[in-house]
This record gives sequence, C-alpha cells and structure tokens, in this order.
Amino acid sequence: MAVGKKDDLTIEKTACQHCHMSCDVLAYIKEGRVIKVEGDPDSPHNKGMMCGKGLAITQLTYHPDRIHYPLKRAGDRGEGKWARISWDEALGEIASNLNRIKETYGPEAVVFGHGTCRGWFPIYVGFINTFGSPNWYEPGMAQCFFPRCTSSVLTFGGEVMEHADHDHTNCVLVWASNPPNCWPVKAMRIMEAKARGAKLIVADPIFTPIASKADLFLQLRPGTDAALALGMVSVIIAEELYDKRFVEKWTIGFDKLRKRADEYPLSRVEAITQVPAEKIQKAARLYANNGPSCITQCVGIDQVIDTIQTSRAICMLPAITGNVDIPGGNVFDMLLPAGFPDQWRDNYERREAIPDEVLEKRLGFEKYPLLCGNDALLTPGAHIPSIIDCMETGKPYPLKALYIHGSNPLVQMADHNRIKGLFLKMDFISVADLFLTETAEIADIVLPAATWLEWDNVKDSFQQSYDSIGFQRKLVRIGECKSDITIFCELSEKLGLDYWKSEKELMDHRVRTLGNGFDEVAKRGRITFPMVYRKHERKGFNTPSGKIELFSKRLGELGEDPLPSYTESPESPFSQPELAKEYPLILTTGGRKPVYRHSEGRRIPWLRQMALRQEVAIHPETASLFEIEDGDEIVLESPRGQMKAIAFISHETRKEWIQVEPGWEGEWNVNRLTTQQYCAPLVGTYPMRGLLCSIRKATQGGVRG
Amino acid sequence: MAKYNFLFEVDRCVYCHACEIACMQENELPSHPWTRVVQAGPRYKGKILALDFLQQRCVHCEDPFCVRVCPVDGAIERNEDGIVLLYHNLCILCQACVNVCPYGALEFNPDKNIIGKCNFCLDRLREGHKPSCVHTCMGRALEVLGEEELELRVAGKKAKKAGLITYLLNTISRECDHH
Amino acid sequence: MLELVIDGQAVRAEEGATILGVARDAGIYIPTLCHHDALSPSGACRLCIVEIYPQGSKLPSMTTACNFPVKEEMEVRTSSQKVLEARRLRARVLLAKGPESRAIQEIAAELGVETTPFTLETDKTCIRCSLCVRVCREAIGADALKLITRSEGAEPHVEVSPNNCIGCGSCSLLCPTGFIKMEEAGGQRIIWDTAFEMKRCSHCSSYTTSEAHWKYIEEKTGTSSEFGTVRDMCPVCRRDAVSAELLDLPEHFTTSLFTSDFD
Repeated sequence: MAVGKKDDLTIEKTACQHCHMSCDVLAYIKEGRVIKVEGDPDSPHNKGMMCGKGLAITQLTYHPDRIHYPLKRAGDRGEGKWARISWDEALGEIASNLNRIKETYGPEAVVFGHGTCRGWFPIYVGFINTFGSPNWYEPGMAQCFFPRCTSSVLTFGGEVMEHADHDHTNCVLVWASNPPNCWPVKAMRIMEAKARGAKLIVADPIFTPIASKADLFLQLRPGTDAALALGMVSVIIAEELYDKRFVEKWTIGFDKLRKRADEYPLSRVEAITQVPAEKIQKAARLYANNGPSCITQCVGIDQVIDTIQTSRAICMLPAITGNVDIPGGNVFDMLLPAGFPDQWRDNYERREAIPDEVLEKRLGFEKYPLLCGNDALLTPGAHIPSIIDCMETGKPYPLKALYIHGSNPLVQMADHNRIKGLFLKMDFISVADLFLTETAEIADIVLPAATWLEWDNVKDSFQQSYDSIGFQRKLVRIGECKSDITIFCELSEKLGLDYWKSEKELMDHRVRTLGNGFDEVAKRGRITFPMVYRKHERKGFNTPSGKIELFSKRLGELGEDPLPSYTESPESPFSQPELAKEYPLILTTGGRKPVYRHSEGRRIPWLRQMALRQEVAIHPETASLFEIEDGDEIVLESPRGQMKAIAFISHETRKEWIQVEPGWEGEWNVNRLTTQQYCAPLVGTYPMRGLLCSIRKATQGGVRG
Repeated sequence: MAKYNFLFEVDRCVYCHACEIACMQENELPSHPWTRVVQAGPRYKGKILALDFLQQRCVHCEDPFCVRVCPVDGAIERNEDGIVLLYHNLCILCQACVNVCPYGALEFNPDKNIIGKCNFCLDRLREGHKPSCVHTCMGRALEVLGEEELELRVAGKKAKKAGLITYLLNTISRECDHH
Repeated sequence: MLELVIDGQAVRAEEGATILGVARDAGIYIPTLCHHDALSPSGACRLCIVEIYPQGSKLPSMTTACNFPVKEEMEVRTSSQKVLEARRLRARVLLAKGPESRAIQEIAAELGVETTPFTLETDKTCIRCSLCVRVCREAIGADALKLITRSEGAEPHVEVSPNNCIGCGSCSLLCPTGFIKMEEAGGQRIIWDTAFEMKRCSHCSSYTTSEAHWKYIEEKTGTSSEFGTVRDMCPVCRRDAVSAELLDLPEHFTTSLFTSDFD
C-alpha cells in the first residue's frame, strides 16, 4: 500500500529499531495512535519482511508498565518506592550529582553505560567524551562486535567480515551466528540464496533452525572456533584450493600462514573441536571450490578466550580464497565510498574532547590497547572487568556514579552476584529505560526513554546494510518519554556542556549531504548507493601495507601473535580437569530466541507467549545420566553461583555441553554462573563460550544466593 | 480453479514466529493466532538429524465439516473462491466446529471470546495485498498463488495438498548427515 | 422499501427490518448487550433504547431498537440527551448486577458511566437477558432452558431441563455476566449443576467436549465414517497428526487427510 491516507488511516514510512537490521516499516496511524505496523513491501532492504520483535512494537510502545514520567527514588535503594518528578528536576538532580562528583573526584569517577545503542552509539560516546569521562562501557564492546570488527580492520583495513553479499553468492558459511533469530534480513537473503541453489555451511555448537537447512553442519565444541577455522585453512592450503593470483597480488605473509596452518592438521583439529576431520575437509572444499562464497559471522566468536585470534583465523578464509569485495563474497560497505559520512566515520564520538592525561586514566587503558586506547581501531571505551575491579577496590581511584542508557547490566553482565553488590554501593545511579528493569530498580533517578515510534533517526550504522541507509521517524509521543538523544542534548545544557542543541539540529546535520533537513530527506525513504566491487583495485586495502595482512605486524608490535592461533578456554575439561570433575558440562551462553533481543521483549505478551520460560536443551544421554526428564525444573551451578531453568530433552545439543539463553531476570539469569575473571588479550573479552557447570533436578534443593 | 492457494515450503521456514505475531496484529488478537508454526525434531532419520517446521492452520476444505456442523445458517460459509469464512457476529460459541475439524484448525480464544480460524486475510486480498503472514515471512516459505502458478511451482517436486493449502516438501537439498 | 430518518440522515430500509439493523447498516452505532445477530431479538437489556417520532408526529416515544420494526417516514434519534440518560441509568443498573462483567464494563465506559449508586451484587448474577434461552432453543435446538416467573411480581429466572441439555457450553460462553458457570474436572463437565461425561483424546488423554455434545455433532454432520483415526483425538493432536503425516513420521498414523500428492 502506498504511503498516504485511506479512510481515517494515515500510513507513514519509518524504520524499525528492534535490532541492527533497521527494516523499513509502514506504520498505520489512526487518531494519533499507531495501530499496526508491517514491513514496507517496496523496500529493497527487507522487501516487506519483518520479524516478530519489530511487529510487536505497538505492544511495546503502548505497554501499560512503561515509565511515562521521570522518577526519583523515594525509599531505600531498591525498595521500589518512587516519586514522580518533572524533567527539569530530574535533569537538574542528575547534573548537580555528576558535576559534584566530577569536581570532587574527577570526571573518571562517573561511569557511563549503554546497551546496544542501535543507531546512536557514536552520538552517546560523543556526549560522554564532551563530559570528559574516560570510563564508559557497553557490554557488547569487548563481548560482541568489537573483536570481530577489529580483526577485520587489522586484516583487511575495513569491516568487510560484517557484510556478506548473499544476493550473488554460491556458498554461505554461517559462523556462530543465528540469522533468523538475530539478523532477519540476512536470514531472508540466505534462504533466498539457498532456494536459488547456493550451498549453506553452518558452524555452531547447537543444531539451530538455520543449521537444519545446511548442506554441512559443523557442530563444534563451544569456544574452539579458531581451531576449526585454522583446520579449514590448512585444508585449503594443503590441497591448493586457494586463489594463487589473489594471494600473490593482494596479501602479505602467506608463507608464514602456511607454516602456521601446518600446525593444525585435521587430526588435531578434530580432537580440539569434536568435528569429524572428514567434515572439516568437506566444508573447506565446499567453501573454496563453490565460490563466490561469503561468511556471516556473529557474537559466538566474540566471546571466547582469544577473540582477536579467533576472528582473525576466520578472516583467513576469504583472504586466501579471494572472496573479498567481489559479487557474492564478503564486501566493504558503500556508505563512505558513495560520499555519505555515516555516524561511525563522521567524528560524532568527538575523540579529541578527551585530553590524553584523562584518557590514560581509562580503566583497562594499558592492558587492553585495542579496546581502550589510541590503538583501538573502532570507538574506544573502558574495560568492564577493570571497572568492576575498581568499584571493588577503589583503586586506582574511586568510582562514584553510574549513568546508564538502554542497558540492563544486572541481567546482561557476567558475574551477576558480584556486580549487584558493587552497584548498590555507588553514590548515585541514573538509568534511562522503557521499563523499571532489574537495573533501573536500584537507581536514584529513572528517566523515561522512547521507543522507535517516538523519535527521528538516521539508520546509517554499517551493521544494518552495506549499501543503503534508512530513516526512523517520530510518529507519536507517549507520556513525557524522550529519546535518548534528546536527553543527552537537554542534560548537556544543564551540565553546561557544548553539545548538540537538539535532536533536530543533530539529525539535520547527519543528512546534510543528502538534502535540505531531516524531515525532507526522511520522507523519501531508504536511499540506496550503487554497489561498486573490488574497491581495492583502485586504492588498495586500508592497511599499513595496502594489502590484506595475513601476517599482522601491528599485532606483533602489540606483543601478540601476528598469525592466527588457537587458545584453549581457561575453564574447560582440558584446561581444568579437576574442576571438570565437579562441573562436568561445558556451558555456553549463546542461546537466542527469535522473539527476544538480549534482555528485551519478555514483557510483551505477543512475544512472551512464543517462549514462556528459560528452557535449556539437554542431550538425551546427559539427561538420563543426571536423571532429568523433559519439563523438569533444574538447577545449573558453576563456581560462581546457581540459576534455575526448565529442561527440555533434545538432540539439538551434544552430550558434553549445554547452551543457555541470557536475558532472563532473577534466578533464571545465566549470568549468575558466568565470570569476568578470565580476559582475552588486547580487547579484554571475558569468555562465555566454554565455561564449566553442573546440572541437577531442582527437587534436590533450590537455588542459593 | 482456485484463485487463491497457500503454498507452504516446509524447508524454507526458519521458525521465527513472525507469521503468528503478524496474524495476531492483523486480527487484533491478544493470543491464539490463527496460524501456528510448530517444530518437529531434531530427530534422527537414519543417520541424518532432521529438524522441520510446519504451519498449522485452516486448510479451507472443499466440503468443510465445520460448515456442515454449524447450527447457525451462514455463520461459517465457503465463499466463491473456496475460502472458508467464520462470521463472528453470527457465531454462538458452541464449539461444534472446533470439535469436528479433522485438522484441529479452529480454536476457542478465551481472551477474545471468539472462535478463531484463518480467513486468508480476505480484506487484504481484496485490496491486492498478501495475507499478513505471507507478507512478513522471513524465510519466504509462505506464498499465495493462483492454480496455474501453483502447478508450476510444485511440478516434479514432492508436495501434498489439502484444501487450499499445499505443502512443498524437501525442496532444499541437504546432502550431508549431521551425525 | 420505505424511507426514514435516523439522526438526521435519510435512509432506506426493507419492510420488517428493525431499527437496530437499519441503523447499523447506515453506520450508526447503537450499544447492545443481549442482542445476537443469529438469534431473535428480546429487548431485555434495554441498552439499545432510542427515541422515535412516528410519521408526522412531534410527540416522541422511547423504544428498544433491536426489536422495533422501522416504519415509513419515522424519525429516529439514537443519541439524544434523553436517550443517553436512559442508557446511562440502564448501565448503572447493569453495573450493579454484574460488576465483574467485561461486556457490561465496556458498555458503561462508552457511556461515561464509572460508578453505580445501586447496591453491588457480589455474586455473578443473572440479568435475565435470555441469551442462554434463545441460543439453546433457536440455534442448538436442545431447548433445555426456559425463562419462567414463579409467582406474580417476582423476577423471572432460568429453569433448566437436564434431560434436554447436551452440555455444549454455548449458554455459558454467551452469558454476559458469567452467571452460568461451566467447570471441568475429573473427566466431567459440570454445567447447570449437571455432570456430563467428556470425550477423551485417544492420543494425549485430554478432554474435549461432552459425550452428548459429540453425539450431537456426529448426528449433524454424519462424519463418523469420514474421520479415520483422528476422530477420537483432541484438536491439538489432530494438528500434530496432520503434521506427522506430512513428514512421514511413524507415530500418529491416520487415514490420509490430504486430497492430492502431486507426486
């Protein structure tokens, strides 16, 4: 249906923000209320498709439990007593607390936090940098996206591994990703490619819905991705399936990589990964011979013990087979090449606003140069476990305030039991969110944030599309809710900072190359830039050598292995056999439901009825060993704590491991089991793919702690 | 010749539940969507581990038991396109249709106090749009096709038909075992 | 065809049509509680009250729209002050009788009625709308319910003939106040204080409807021979049976429900 009016309905174009994909949406508005949304059938991006999470936006926007007004704590912390206050009072209170702490203890005493920041990541960082605190965190930085993108930039000079050209491919390798649940547009395109005859290989510890469509399924032990990738590389090199001309012309360090690959014969890789050697060989041949091939990867490889090496190992596959920036391969995005400065490349983050002497105080600065310091290749930030340690010890300096937007760290951060105690000791906590989440409940001030129907935004993150940008538009206003960006603008004024004056000023600036102001540009809908492949043939790769760096001198300089390598998880049956006697199962927190995103969605009736409870798949043999039956309430335990779940017996997992879904609050929270004690080099990831745990029936005693 | 047929390509469903949520939104239902998708497996077929997802909904039979059993004239009828429609204003909630349907496709919805069943999103069809479930389908597993297009799509493939719904099976080759 | 005016709008109507039907066709909303399109009108709830001016008359009278036939050149006012006041009074009475009824609450809210001056009845009560009596007699055909008045001056109440009742539950689900209770336990459905044995799913052992209702269904459809093995299953197991057949799963086998194979 065309945009316009029909009877008493108005139909407006906008874009979804429930995940990074930013699907184009038609919103049906009646008497000032959005009554329905659906995917825009004219969109070249999502072609009418929309997932359940996005479709449920009306139930989210008009949810009766939403916070409609700023709230101030009226009882003890966490007691659940609140007083309604005005925005003026709320922002004044926050500003006076943050400025007081800044003056007394320095700006570093204020810790800023955010969640996935879909569509406003660098803009929030710009606000924090303007305030002057070096300490901001995002659970998804070292734990997701950052390591794999850093590796891609180290190797190729850009985020090529994030974009697969599914429309022209003959072979898709899905690695540690769950596209139907987390990347709907990618899932749609993969299924279209599959129907066209493309081959599909899936590497995942769990037999997921996308794995069930695969021609080849590599069910690897959680946390062993690097070994699997190096096994495939060794086959491709040994069998001379690589693209010799491409390797010669466009890569450096191939001979060194060949030697490294020799250290990963299939017999060794099979022993590490539990994937049969024959299948690894088949996968390598399929990927190399059935090109053009592309890789769609995600968070699974960002939560192991050596994230940079793991994602670097996977980078080797397109690098040596020449599946780089060609139709059907992994491609560089077209935004900047087409002359559109997107939010990541237009210095909205204001890196220069932080003086060097303050930057050096950033927690994790020395130890994690690729996450925290000037060596970081993407937006640098602080290291979460270092923040938590600092909260605990007060060293090297005290941390006094937490200012959080759109994030629920008490659910989403590892080692829940420990961090909750530390958060409670903070002088001042402010949280902006849609609901009184477990984190908002312990805040002093809670600000009512907006859903994606309530604010304007340019959808230009390179994660949503490599060749187009969309527009999210303000269609309704709910209570006194305000967008996160509006809150930064208004709080900046109270804090006396020179930041953007309003959302409008910022959005008009963001589209300045496209037309006359946001409203005018956004009405036109998604803008697609013509795709140009093989951009390196004109300018080379944006690396120090101008080529793809199989051997990374830069990593060597940072004291790390310049070639990809595999490191065993610090907590596995092999690395800690004694601990494994007590905790015999391997735990991974990679579970995702198609109806939830991280800790979001469980309050929405349409979504909740599709997945009522925290269910954990247990292999039939494991279940019988632990005398667990289908539907039993079970307790999972690790050296850190315990959680509850409902067992379902399924062949989707292997007998040695179980996968749990993060995002559930209270005693169903898997982060009661996880830890921040082990950290990956350079980026400081705490691994959550491959820890140890035990299970038992809940009737043998409930959850402690 | 049926003007409208549902084609459900079993192998393309990715179990995202979007069809169910789109159905609830379109028909203003708090729960109990008029189409459902269920998971069969993972199960071993010999050495192969299989996992399938299936749509369950009204198939719009040629001689529907629900029409025969309904005590109210015109409360359920099969229209000229073969689409079986239930008119809520005439329904007396006796649930004879729920109990008689061999496909189990009608359901009492306690949140709305109505009997629910798929109506092909007839209003949308009439305006030239696809049913909401088809429109939003992530795996492009669902389609609405005319008879001739349907014949073309299923020619030479394993398919089963009931009423106006055709299930296309094993269209995506899966050569390797997942053992 | 005759012509009349509703809320200032000239409309044409069939002879014998009711004011309610004609108004709805013209897009004019009149609230109802005891009206059902499949059943004869009763005028019991009196929420559909309207003001009418017979042809050429300036003297209005009030009537229920659901059962009053339209007349040539009649003028109808569906939302005059007088009409709304009468409806509000009625809503207050109903709200006291069925304070928990969602249907009554919704209509009261539409009329701007939030509270009632009358004493609240704590139990779910009968408002004598006769929907149950009408559905049982006119639609189901069991004729198990009657609205009777025991003595002069007393309010009528519903009397049940247990021998006629088949335990289908229609009356309970249509009842706007929840007065007609239907409970299921231990393989029995209890309604109107009568226990009915229930049909049990051959596969999952859950209960579906009363055996008497099932007998009524099969007599009406003559489907016994057409069902195959799904006959004795509950709807959920029937769905799964169809799915199992599609995937050639061994458990749940059945006579084919598929009309063609295309193979």
